[in-house]
Amino acid sequence: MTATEDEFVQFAEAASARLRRTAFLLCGDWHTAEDLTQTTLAKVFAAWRRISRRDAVNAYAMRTLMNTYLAENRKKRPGEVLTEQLPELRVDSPSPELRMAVLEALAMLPPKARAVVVLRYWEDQSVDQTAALLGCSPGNVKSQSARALDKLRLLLDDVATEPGPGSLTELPNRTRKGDHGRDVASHSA
Amino acid sequence: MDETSLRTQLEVAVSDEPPLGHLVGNSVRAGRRIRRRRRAAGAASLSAAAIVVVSIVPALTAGTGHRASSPGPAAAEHPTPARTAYVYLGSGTVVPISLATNVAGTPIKVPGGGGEGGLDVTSAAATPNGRTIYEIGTGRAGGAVVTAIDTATNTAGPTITLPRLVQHVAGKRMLASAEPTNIAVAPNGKTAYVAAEEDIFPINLATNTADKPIRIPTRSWAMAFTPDGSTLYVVNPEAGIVTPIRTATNTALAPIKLTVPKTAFGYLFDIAITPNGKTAYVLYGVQGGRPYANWVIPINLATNTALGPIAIQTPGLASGLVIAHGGRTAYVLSTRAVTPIDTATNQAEPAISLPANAGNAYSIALAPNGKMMYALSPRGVVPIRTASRTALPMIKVPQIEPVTELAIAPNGKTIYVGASTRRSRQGGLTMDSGGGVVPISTATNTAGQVINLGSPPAAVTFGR
Repeated sequence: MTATEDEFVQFAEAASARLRRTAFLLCGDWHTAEDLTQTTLAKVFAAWRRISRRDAVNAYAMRTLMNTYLAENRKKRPGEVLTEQLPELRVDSPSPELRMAVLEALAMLPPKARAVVVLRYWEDQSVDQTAALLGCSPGNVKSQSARALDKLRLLLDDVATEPGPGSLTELPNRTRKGDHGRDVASHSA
Repeated sequence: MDETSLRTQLEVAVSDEPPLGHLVGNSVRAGRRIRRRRRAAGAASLSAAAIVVVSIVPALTAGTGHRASSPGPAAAEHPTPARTAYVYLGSGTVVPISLATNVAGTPIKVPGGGGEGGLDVTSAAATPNGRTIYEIGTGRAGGAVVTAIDTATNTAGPTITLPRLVQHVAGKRMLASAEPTNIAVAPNGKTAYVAAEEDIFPINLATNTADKPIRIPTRSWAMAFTPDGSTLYVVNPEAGIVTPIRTATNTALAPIKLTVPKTAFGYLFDIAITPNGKTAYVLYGVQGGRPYANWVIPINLATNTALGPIAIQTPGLASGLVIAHGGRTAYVLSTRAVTPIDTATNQAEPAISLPANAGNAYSIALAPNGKMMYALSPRGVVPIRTASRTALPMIKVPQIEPVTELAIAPNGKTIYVGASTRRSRQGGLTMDSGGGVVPISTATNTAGQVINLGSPPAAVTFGR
């Protein structure tokens, strides 16, 4: 292994856990997340000598992950099949109902909107950084983000108002779907 | 739903993380395979050669600069007074708001919009006389759609569906929907240009039909007209180039390769043209956030050649560019400061610091009278005097939705920013639903009550 490859290995060992978590939020499955991360790291390895600024390599890897995820979805859409129950739900996982609800809600988003949500609210990227990572306009990020958040609110709202075991039953009732529309008259800041 | 609450939910989602496998070793092996394949492909392609035809753009006359790099038209596009703000909601609905009273009118339903899979508006622009507004988005069927709104009657239509594009994916020919990202209306009001992927679609506004698309090297979004409207400059952020389009013939001229500093991950964000039409300034932001990490690249429009890049010596990602003082100064927003550039010498001057409580600003706009600029952050709006280069205290907007831009009314009296409302806490999570716009008076620099429209806006523009 060359010195350059050693450098890459150091980077990959430091970055792989974070990349895999982000990939998991994109695809909802740890095995696929691992595949996505491996493909991403392989592409970064192939480009390693061309990445002249080491301080930008994390951004490069994140952009590669996004491209890989979106390309995979283009090839074999739909990438996920919604089921009643998520597999491999560990009993010691905190708030299993909320976890399932969040994953199901994310799965309802179109791939690009899901990528926007993950970048903006998991990776803490700004609108412009998200636009740069996805290769689209900031305006598109904004509209995708606003619509995705709206949808997540509605989906998580439904779960929150359904009676059932677990921590979600402790949430108070919220506005239901039918109340979510335009409401010009009843302004409340 | 705010960032903190969603972040908490995402943390719960990843809470059952299994141990990592042999990711790194497998990646190195796979990476070596990619390198081998690339070397083989590179050897095969060396036999091909590209021919580049260089053209010269005619000299430009003086006038008023136009830019269309962000949703909403430039104030200079309204020789007749605008009376209404048009607020585009993600649900495919447009709500007119009176500039005089800040009262919302009857919502306008956009054909093909509303509900699941409805029109996803990405940008909107008005004709120079303010009588028609064109919005672009992705329609219910997935195609790119341009919809006109008559501001005299506040009715929507007609709808123009852009042709699908031929793409080659894995060697197969496919028809794909173009994703529209930006629209700019020519200063003469006869043609609108819609950027969608690797094509610019000219829309004949007399017949409301899409003409043959102009193919450009890579996808684009920021666009700016020369003051006389003879050339539209289109930024291709990934390729580091700017493509001029001659509007008389709707043909692309030779792309201008920018002398961008070599970085692993830079991005062209914005373009603005001086009112005398001599120079364009292109903003090049670089991930990493270190000092000297952003640049502005001037382009000599007489020769269509890029000049040496100007370093912006402030930390944070640069995200906005405006030209003021009759074209004498360009201002670059980079998170917590605004850097002036003297356009006569192309030298950066001492930066204007934004108030510490403003946080990270991400959008900047110039008032129609050119005396003030406004920077938008997730916490409020910072007014900046252009003459004295001083930032005033931030106008706090507690309900601000950090995904929308600010829109300044052409009369300069009101700024509209997007807002979330009905914030509530449930089980330790903060949830938002509903929203609208907050009007800010530029006379008193105070924010008014939220005009509630049901959701935050996708874009705001102005018409008669």
